[in-house]
Amino acid sequence: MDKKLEVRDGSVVLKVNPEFYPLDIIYSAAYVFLDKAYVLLDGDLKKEILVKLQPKQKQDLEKLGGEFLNELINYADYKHRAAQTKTIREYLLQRALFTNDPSIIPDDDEEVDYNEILNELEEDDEELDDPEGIAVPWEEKYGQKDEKKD
Amino acid sequence: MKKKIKLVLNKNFYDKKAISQAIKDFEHIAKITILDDEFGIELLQKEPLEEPLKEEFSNYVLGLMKNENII
Repeated sequence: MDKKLEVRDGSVVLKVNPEFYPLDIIYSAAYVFLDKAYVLLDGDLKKEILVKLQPKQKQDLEKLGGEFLNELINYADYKHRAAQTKTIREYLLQRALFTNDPSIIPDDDEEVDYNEILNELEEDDEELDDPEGIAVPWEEKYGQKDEKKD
Repeated sequence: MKKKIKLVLNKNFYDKKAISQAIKDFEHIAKITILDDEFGIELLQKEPLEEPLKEEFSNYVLGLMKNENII
């Protein structure tokens, strides 16, 4: 296995496989490191991307390189999870917007799916346990007493 | 004394628009010119600086690219 981390001339050079870590992930990780290191990107976009890190203050170079590799994994995982939860995030946003303006729901086949989800959410709300009787609206609990006073 | 420095930013990773913006932003501390299509860059430092100009410049370009949603 090739060494992916090479220390030379006060800097550390990382060889990153773009098949594992696409360029957007490398940019995101690089951006995090701008405060503590000088970052230079080079190499081949399809074969091997080189990330040169030169610390701004004296620092263990191998450790710095290792931290960058960890950051790559962090962003790769974030991207993966973001893709996985994309649909549910869209539903939640749709739900939030629907609360304010029902007219934004499109009149196409998708509407059926959204309605099903909204119904499920409402059913969940109805099924809430309230053994202490806390979930009573203020008007129901105190409204009539006030009327009698008048 | 003015100090001339050369830098190459790989065109596959760096955006020309961001480089041009960075050149404008660094105008007061250095005269910077793009030499060729491969983003060979010449930096002519106007005054002595505490930070290394070349490295600060390339970091700044990356930062601009991220902030302006180019990447």
